[in-house]
Amino acid sequence: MAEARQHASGLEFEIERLTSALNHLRPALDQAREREEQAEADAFRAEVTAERDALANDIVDKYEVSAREIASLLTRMTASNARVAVANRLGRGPGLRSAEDIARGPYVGMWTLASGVRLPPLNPSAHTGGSFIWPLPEPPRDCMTPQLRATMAAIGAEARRIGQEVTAREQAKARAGRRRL
Amino acid sequence: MSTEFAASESTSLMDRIAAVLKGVASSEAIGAMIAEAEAEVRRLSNEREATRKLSLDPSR
Repeated sequence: MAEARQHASGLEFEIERLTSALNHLRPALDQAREREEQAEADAFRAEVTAERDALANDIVDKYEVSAREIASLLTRMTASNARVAVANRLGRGPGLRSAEDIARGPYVGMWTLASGVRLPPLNPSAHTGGSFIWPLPEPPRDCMTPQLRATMAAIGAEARRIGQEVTAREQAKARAGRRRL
Repeated sequence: MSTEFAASESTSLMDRIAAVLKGVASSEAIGAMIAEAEAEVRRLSNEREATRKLSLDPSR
């Protein structure tokens, strides 16, 4: 019986030691998890940063070139649309479809490529005036209608005619005065 | 199982626990150590209970 009691006492001591050890292991587990999560986050941030920097370099190298290439296509599309419209107004043959219509197929959305695309310049200071690579800046607007332009031209012509007539009368008057003398 | 054997097994486990706590162990290693220590505590508790019953048995 004494031996059993001693054995039980030994077991009690081992249980206590292990329980104490567990009280150290559990916080150590929390710290290890925190350390690993931080390391994982650091690695992910480094990976994302490297990807971002590579992309930034690509943007610097390629954006302006690509944007200008697209702007060139859209410029050609706009010019082609105008010529297709002229050809269609002639009414001599079936209506021609636009280049975009052929390229994209039947399209019911509200944005055409030319109207939907916005390409700001890469350099923000070049964009401060609101200028884009596409759409192209609009030329200064001419407020004169053809009728107004014709009216103004007629007024100008009449003014010149009156001026010439007045000059002619004054010259004739001067010549008559010289003859009387 | 004798007390000596139980003690030596626990000591070996205690040595490994000490090593884990001193170094920079992974959460996986620490988790495994905790599971092993908890299992050992359960085993020792069962053994203690059995010993207690044995020592209280009047027929022995």
